[in-house]
Amino acid sequence: MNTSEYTEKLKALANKELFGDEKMQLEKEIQENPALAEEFKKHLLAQELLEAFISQDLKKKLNTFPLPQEKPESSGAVIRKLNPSRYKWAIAASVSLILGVSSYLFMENEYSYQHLANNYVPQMQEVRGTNLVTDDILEKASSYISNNKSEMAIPLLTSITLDDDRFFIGQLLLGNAYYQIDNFSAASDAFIQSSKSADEEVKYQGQYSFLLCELKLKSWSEENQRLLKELSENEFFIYKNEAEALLQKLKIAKYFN
Amino acid sequence: MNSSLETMDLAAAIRFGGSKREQALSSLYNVTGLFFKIKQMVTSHGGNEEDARDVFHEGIITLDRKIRQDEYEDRGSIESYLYGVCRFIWSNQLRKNKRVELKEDFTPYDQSTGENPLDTMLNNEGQNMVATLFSQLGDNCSKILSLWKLSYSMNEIAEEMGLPSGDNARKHKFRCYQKLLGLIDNSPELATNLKNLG
Repeated sequence: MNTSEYTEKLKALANKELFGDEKMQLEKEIQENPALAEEFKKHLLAQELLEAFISQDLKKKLNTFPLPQEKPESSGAVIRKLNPSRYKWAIAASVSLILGVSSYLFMENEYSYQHLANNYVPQMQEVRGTNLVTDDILEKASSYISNNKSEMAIPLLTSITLDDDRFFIGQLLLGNAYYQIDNFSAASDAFIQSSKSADEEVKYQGQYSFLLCELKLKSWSEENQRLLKELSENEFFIYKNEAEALLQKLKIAKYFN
Repeated sequence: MNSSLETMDLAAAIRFGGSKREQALSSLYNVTGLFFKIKQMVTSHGGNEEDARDVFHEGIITLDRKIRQDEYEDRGSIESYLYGVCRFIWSNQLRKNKRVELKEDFTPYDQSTGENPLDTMLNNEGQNMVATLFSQLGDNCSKILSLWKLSYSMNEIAEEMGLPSGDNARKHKFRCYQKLLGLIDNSPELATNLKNLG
């Protein structure tokens, strides 16, 4: 092979464009020939420099883009956010919320805390992560909960430990699972854990769901009321409107509980 | 999204390179709510909107490079992956600046694999060396080589650079590449300094 041919092949190898026998042959020659190995390092460095230049160029281009200005969808659009084929339970719950509110006035004990809680259910968010093993667990658990098989989701979710970066989302799902089987005490504990997340979406959802558990357990307090008020005034909480509506009803409900 | 991207997801389009990559990056930039979520993460941990913009941009640059170098695995959505990268970038920045005490769960992503998305990023000195080198290489050669690196065809490069044909573009690319190797030969400190990352 002449110098020019070597240059082309070394360039191709450095750019990951050489395959099969040709690649193996050249790699063998590089291992056996120190001068060739030095030459190959130059080509690798050339590729590295080109990557760095491309990154700098991309940065300049991105700086010319106007920043996206949109806010997340309001809580009224929460049904559209969820993937219908995976979260039928959450959607059914959301629909039942709307129907429940309209039939609300015709039911007995309509202002009892438990009855109020019946019209507001914890919402389940789509979970996708960057850790393969935990992703599998979360997606399987979501699917079980959607298919009313919470008892199968629970052992999966309790296996996610605190050092996992998806722990708090796992706790949110765990709370949903316990809630579904009417274990409001365990659900409450899980939602309290999820509310410690630094991810505000998870944190506020955990807080809100914890409050729904408190209603179910008939242990409503001034502290709960204060927390609900905060959520109802929080522009970044996606269920702000639901929290506001519940707060209004609780103003009346306190006379019946 | 451009109809040609409908049959190809964003990661695949970036990997494909050429103009499809440009379209995919633009689409990713404008995914509904993505920047807002990143901004929330940054501003709730001691940053401002400008910090959020920088983190978002660095995240996209890192993701682009990882995909093109086959270091990105298609698990979960690309938007979630990008969010994870941005979280890591910001947590790393905070640790460097010691601005804010990090909450216990604000951890880098992919800790189990030990993967560090900042492994591919240069420090300021490295960035300056790259900028100097490519200014010596010249605008035309810099552009031809970067288009070639981004998998544009020779005909596309010819069109972009106003050259008469793909063959002509190929000759220019060869000469520019030789020029780059010559500059590397004349800058032995390059290899050493580019090893000092982050």
